[in-house]
Order: sequence, then structure tokens, then C-alpha cells
Amino acid sequence: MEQIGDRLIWYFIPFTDISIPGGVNVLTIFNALVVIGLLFGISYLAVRKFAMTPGRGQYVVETFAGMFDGLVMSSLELPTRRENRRFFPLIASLFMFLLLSNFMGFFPTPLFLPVTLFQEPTADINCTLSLGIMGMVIATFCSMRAKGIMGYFSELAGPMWSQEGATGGALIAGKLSALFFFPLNVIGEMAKIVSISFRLFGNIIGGSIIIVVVTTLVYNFSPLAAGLDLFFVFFVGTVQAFVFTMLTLTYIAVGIK
Amino acid sequence: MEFLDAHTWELVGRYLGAGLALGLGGIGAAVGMGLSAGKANEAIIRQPSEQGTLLRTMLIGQAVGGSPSIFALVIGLLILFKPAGGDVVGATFAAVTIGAGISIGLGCFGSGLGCGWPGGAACEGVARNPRQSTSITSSMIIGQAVAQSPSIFATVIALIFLFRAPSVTGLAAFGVCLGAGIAMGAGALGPGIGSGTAAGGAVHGSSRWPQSSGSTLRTMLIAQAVSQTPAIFGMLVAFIMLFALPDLDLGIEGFARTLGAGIAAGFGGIGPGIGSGTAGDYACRVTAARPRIDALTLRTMLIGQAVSQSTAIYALIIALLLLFVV
Amino acid sequence: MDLTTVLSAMQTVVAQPEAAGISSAAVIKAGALIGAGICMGFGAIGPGVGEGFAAGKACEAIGRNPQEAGLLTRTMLIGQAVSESTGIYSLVVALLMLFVVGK
Repeated sequence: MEQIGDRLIWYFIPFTDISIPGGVNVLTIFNALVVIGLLFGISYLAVRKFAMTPGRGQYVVETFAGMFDGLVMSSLELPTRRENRRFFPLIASLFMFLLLSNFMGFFPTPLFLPVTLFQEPTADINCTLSLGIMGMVIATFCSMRAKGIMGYFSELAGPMWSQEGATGGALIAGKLSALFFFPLNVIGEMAKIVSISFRLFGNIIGGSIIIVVVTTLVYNFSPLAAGLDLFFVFFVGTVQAFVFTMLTLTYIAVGIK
Repeated sequence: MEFLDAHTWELVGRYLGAGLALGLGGIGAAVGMGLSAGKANEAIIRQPSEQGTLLRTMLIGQAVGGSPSIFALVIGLLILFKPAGGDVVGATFAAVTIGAGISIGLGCFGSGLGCGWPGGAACEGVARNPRQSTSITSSMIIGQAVAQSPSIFATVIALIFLFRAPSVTGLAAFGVCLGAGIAMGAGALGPGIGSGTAAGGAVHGSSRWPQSSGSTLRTMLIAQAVSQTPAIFGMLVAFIMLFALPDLDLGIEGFARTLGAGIAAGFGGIGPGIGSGTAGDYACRVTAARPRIDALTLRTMLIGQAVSQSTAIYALIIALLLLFVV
Repeated sequence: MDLTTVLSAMQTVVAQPEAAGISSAAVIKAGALIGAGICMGFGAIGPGVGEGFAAGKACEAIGRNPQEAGLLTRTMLIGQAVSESTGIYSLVVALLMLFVVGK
């Protein structure tokens, strides 16, 4: 329980004089590397031999890819298929990384090891906050490219900044309203990062803590632990990985419209 | 602080904390289960031949929707029987347990109540369309599971209270504990109800128009995630109070600052949570009926929800000003 | 420790803060700070619910008539801006309490 505070410290804060307490979080880095290795292995096995009549593995991979392709297409609604395809690798790999990361807590640590070996990288705020910042930077960049830098900032300046046919007092009032709307919208953009990263973090760490507390209370009654694992690790983990991916995709879609 | 001895403070804290946890945390789940049961009765009258399926749907919905009250039960038992020790004795122990009780009680209130809507909508839907009962039940379970994440956040904050001593003492400890408890608990109340109503709309829509249930489910997940944003603001303020307040005045000023920030962040989240959920409810029904315009509906919903969340952002700003500037 | 002793001790703190070692200026400032929190917290409930309802009804209307989406979104935003004004009143009063009364 004392480690929750450690997982909440954001270890690397650029442009400040905040020192890095305890260096980087080794467990998170290790588990993220394990997830990346697993993903490399699965992808290598999946694409090693493609046949016209798909086998079982190829069928699963193709269904997954087709599902995400359709999801990206219907969310972004860009004119050509190629433009939509640009976002497919990002969205699909984000989902796969989050899915496997959320399942990492399920693997037991071998008994002869003195420390915990496997822990969800997403139960560390550093991981989810980095992914959230990455998603919002991409969404902002895409939005600036789609609307132009001036268009992006005039949208941040509020609905009354650029109204057609306004003259005199209405025009001045509209421009003055930006003084109020601009800071709010900037804070709103920051709040998006906080909300998507803390949602994933809270759900994953909440599930793992509830499993530990409840199973300790009932003296490790294993069927209950298995049931809680099934619910929190596999069900909540899948749903939250999907929610994070969909929100990133939606922020990109709203940004380029 | 000195007018009670340490043992009395501990008992006061235990009894008040466990009472708040179970008293508030039980209301939501009870009302929610009642909503499902009422809808199930109506549905059985309309379709007496589907009695068995309806009863099963109702029971599954109530079982999943009852888990917030089980979280409250676990935390309530911990509050009652966890031994006081270390730095946390006397008045500080009372503050910690009352804070944990408020957090878990209000947080489970919202999610338990919210889980009633998808449960009721599923019973109605099974009566309307008995052959789709499996897919209706699964969309109900997904909606309820996501609607429970505010109560999971509240459980985390309550457990942090119980197992990690706050860094302050005296009157300020009461401020930190009550403030963080209200920020998390009241902040989770609205989002729990809101994500429940959104899930209800989605279950209703996908039972009437089963062919578009994929896009309905997607709209539901996004609507629920957005309506849970105020709960995340509340959790953020609670985390800041518990871990990141280095030099807090330990007297009445620190008490007022932390309690005020907690009330602002917590109660400020109720309205936006419920409102964004209502928007999501309508958007899910429209998406189910007209899946061709789902991107347009989603965009309108997100714009409306963003405006509705701006009040939660004002409340967050006031809370952060109270904590860091004043 | 019986209830009367507790109540009399609390009465001392509330009625004569100086006797409990707290200056009355500190009590006034504390009141302003908690008041700011209550003002913004409860003031945000109404606008949030109302604006969400407006957004829901706008979604419903767009479902009926997707061609008028632009008009409906504009109408929704105007209605929400009016509903937002009470939230902004709360924000202003809370800021006044923080930076004018609480100083």
C-alpha cells in the first residue's frame, strides 16, 4: 500500500529543477519492455507465413486488423482510404500495447524470487501520463495541420471570436470574450490529458488493490481470487484499453474536423 | 483536539466512518436494484412466457450492479476492525476513518444508483426482443462495469486513507481527510449516475435496433468515459491533498483551505457528471436508431459535453487556487 | 468523557476562538475560504445538469433532422451559454471570496 505514493510521482518533469526521486521506475520499464517483446513475438509469428486460406492464427490477426481498420475509417471519415490508413498503425498498436499491459498483473511471480516481477505498467502514472501526452500532442498536431495554426488558435479563442457579419460593439465584445475563453480552453485541453491518463491508471491500480485486499480478508480463498482476477484483469482491462484507444482516436477525429 | 482522549477519538472515528460508508454506500445500490426489479415486473406482465429469461436478466443485472455496495461493505469492515497504530492514533485516526467513509459512501452511492438504469433497460429490452437476450445482457454488463469505475476510484482513495498516514496532524489533518474524502466521494457521485444513464440509453437502443449495436456500444463507452472526467478531477484533488501538499498551515487556515478545495472539486463534479450522462443517453438512442449519422451525433454529443464540463473545470480551478495560491 | 463536556469544549472553540488560541481574523479568513469552496461546488451542479440536458436534446433533434445540424448546434451553444451564466456568477463570487474577503 505504501507503493501507491511512489507510483503517483511523475519521475521526469522537464524544464524544472525538480529532482528525480529514486531515478526511473525499474519495474515499469521492465514490464513495458516485456510487453513490447511479447508484441514483437506475436507479430513475427502472425506475419511469418500468410496463406490464401487463413489458418487459425492468421484468421484472428486479420479479424483484429479488419475491425480496427473499420473503426478508424468510421471515426475519422477522411475522404480517401489512404489518409485514414495513416492513423491505423498508431491506433491498433496503442490498443495492443495497452491490452497486454493491463494483463501483465495476471502473471504470477515465481516463488523463489524475493521481489515482484510482473506488474501492470499501466498501474504507474508515468506510463499512462506519457501515453496521454503522446495522444494529445498527435491530436493537436493533426488539428493544426488540418485547420492551419491560425484556425487552431481562433478555435481556442472561443465561439465569439470569428463571427460573420459582426460590426462595432458586437465585434469588440467578441474579441474581448477571447480573454475569458482562451485560458479556459487551454486548461480544458490540459484536462483531457489528465482525464484519459488518470482514468486508465485509476482503474488498473484500483483493480489490483481490490484483488489484494479482498483476497487477504478471506484468507486467500482462491476461487474468489480467480473470479476477481477474471473480472478486474481481463474484463475491466480490455474495456479500459479500448476506452483509452477510442478516446485518443476521438480527440484526433474532433481535432481534424 | 484535546477535549477527547485517544481511545474515544478512535471509537468516534470507527463508528462514524463505518456508518457513513455503509449508510450512504447502500442507498445507491438498493435504489438501483429496485429500479431493475420494477422494470422486470413490468416486463413479466407484458411477456409472461419469457418469465425465466427475464428473471435471469434481472438477477445478473442486480448482481453486477450490487458490487459497489460490496466495495462499501469491505471498506466499512476495514474501518471498523483495522487496528490503529504507528503515527495514526487519536484524532488523526478519527479524521482518516471519517474521510475514508465519506469517500467510499458517496462514491458507491452514485455507481450503485447508476447501475440500475442499464439493468432496467435490459429487462424491458428482453421483453421486447427475447431472441436477443444474450447480446442485451452482455451490453448491460459492459455498461455497468464501466459505470462502476467511479466507485473503484473511491475505493482506492479510501484504502490509501486507511493504509497510509497523512503527512499533517491536528486540525489540518481533519481538513485534509474530510476534503479529500468529499472531493473523491461527491466527485464520483454524479459521474456514477451519469455513466449509468448513458448505459441505460445504450441498452435500450441496442435492444430496439440490434443491427447497430456495435456503434451504439462505442458511443456509450465514449459518453461514459467523458462523463467520468469530473470523478477524475476529484481523484486528482484527493491525490494532491494526500501526497503533494508540502507546507500546509496546520491550524484553522489549512483546515479551511483543504476542506474548501474538497467541497469545490467534489460537489462541482455532480452536475457535469449527471449532465454529460444525459447527453450520452440521448446520443446512444439516436446512434442506435440512425447508425449512418453516428459520427455527427458523436461530435454534437462531445461538443455539448465539453461545454457542460466547463463548470467542473471552474470548480477544479477554484480547488487548485485554494490549495496552491491563497 | 461524557457528552456535556464535549459540547462545552466545542462551545468554547466556537464562541470564544481566542480562548482556544485562534484569532478571529483567522476564523473569518477560514470562513471565506470554505465559503468559496461551497459557492463554486454547489453552484456548478445546476449548469452542469442543464447543459447536459440541452446537449442530449440537441442530439435527439439531429437524429430527426441531420440536415439542420449546424443550426441545431448553434442553438444548443446559445442555450448552454445562457445556462452557463449562473456557473460564471458562482466563479466570480468564489474568486471574490478568495482574493478580496479572504485576504
